[in-house]
Amino acid sequence: MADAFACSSSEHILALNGITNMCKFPGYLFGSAIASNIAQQFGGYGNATALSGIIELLGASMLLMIPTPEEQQRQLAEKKSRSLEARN
Amino acid sequence: MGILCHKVVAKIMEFTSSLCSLYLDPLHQTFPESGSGALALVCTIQIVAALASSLAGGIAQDALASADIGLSWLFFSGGVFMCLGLVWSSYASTVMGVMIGSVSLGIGLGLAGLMSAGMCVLWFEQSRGTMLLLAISGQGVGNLLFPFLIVKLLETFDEVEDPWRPTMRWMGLLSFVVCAMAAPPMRLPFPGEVEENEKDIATSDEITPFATDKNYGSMVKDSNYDNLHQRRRRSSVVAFEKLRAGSIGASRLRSSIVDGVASGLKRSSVVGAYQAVSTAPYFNSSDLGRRSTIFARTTNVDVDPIPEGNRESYFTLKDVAFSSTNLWLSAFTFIACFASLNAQVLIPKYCLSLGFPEAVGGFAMALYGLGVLMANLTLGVAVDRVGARKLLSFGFATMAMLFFIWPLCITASLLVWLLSRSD
Repeated sequence: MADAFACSSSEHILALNGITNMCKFPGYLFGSAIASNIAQQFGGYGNATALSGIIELLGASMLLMIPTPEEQQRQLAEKKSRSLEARN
Repeated sequence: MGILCHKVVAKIMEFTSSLCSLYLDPLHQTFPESGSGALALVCTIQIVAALASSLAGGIAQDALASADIGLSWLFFSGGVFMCLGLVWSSYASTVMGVMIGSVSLGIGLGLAGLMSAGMCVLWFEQSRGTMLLLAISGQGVGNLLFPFLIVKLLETFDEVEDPWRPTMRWMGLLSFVVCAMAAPPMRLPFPGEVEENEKDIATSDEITPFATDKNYGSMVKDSNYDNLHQRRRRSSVVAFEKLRAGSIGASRLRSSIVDGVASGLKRSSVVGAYQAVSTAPYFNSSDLGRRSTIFARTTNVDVDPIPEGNRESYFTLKDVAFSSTNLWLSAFTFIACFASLNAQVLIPKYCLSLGFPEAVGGFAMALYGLGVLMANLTLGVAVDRVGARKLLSFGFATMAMLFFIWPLCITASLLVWLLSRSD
């Protein structure tokens, strides 16, 4: 996030950090409870941990979808210019 | 280094709240009628309040800046909230009172701890990853220090009816003192300050004294400069000092830089000033239409051209919040956090199911925390070289592999070895 926005929008880094922190809430709140219930229901830890592993792999693949900082700046600038043209 | 030390301290204090679980057993003895779920809610509410306050604090920083209230007061108030929360809980006669105190503790945690990471990344550019992980290593230090401290306090007050009450008061006082010490230097960097710090630009004996002449260009004399770097460095420092001293505002600097270009000043010195004060957001494309060659790559100047469309001075929070980076990062965080605590929750139970004593589970968790600390201290350099995105993807992929592997461990030594490498 800092790589993408530190130069152009450094004043928003803390707010974006807060938004990301809020996204952690459901996972922290329910994740371990769901895993414990799965472990209890199936009588072993293999299913719960396998599901956890699949979730982590899914998360890792999402990270690869994040554009590079240069590409992100280009997208923001294009979007901004389009909105300005639409306003004019 | 001073900034980094204060960030480490802030992260250390972040760990005081995550040790809430150490109070659960003493709380259960005081409130036997409360179920384990209600007591566990004390810890959960703390985390939720911390996350919410970090969001509110980040959004509020603009309002605070316009009211001329520094971010250091935000961090100081975090220490106040943490102290008030712990003290309030220590005097509570019901579990609901403890929960109210936990909310206050969580608010303080968010303001003092969670925001510090966001600020740390703004102070460094070339070594951002290294410094951020060094700052986060404060959590590992807290992991080693505070459980020992809390257990010692609980033992010291063992003869008191509810030993957790005086323990919380002392921890509240400690939280306040540490946050108060760490708060004063907490601020965002001035324009150009990052470059000054990272490129080790000396500002003591090489500063050109400010002339009374308002023509910025006439101040810069480069006859004694050694190389291009020295010229750009000197002009960057001059422009930075001028802006910091308030003798010229950002808009006037913009005008003076454009005028400087028009009057045929040395391009390197003007570009150096541009780089020093990060004036890109203050330029309109129309200003640069005739001067765009200054930003083209030449043998003397190495500056990337300003992207097209950057006509207004800034992107709004809505712009960056709905950007691809933030959306994918939020989605990743939402998904990954469902599994991130599962190891800590399931491994102690797994050890008991194999017939190991409780100490094995505790030792495994301690090595897990030690692995976190060692990773924070060593992987920062790798982040700066490889990039945060790639290293984070690799890290989570390997953690996923470990989730498939650790249920197959049937000996204590293998489990402990595996968990010590999990981070």
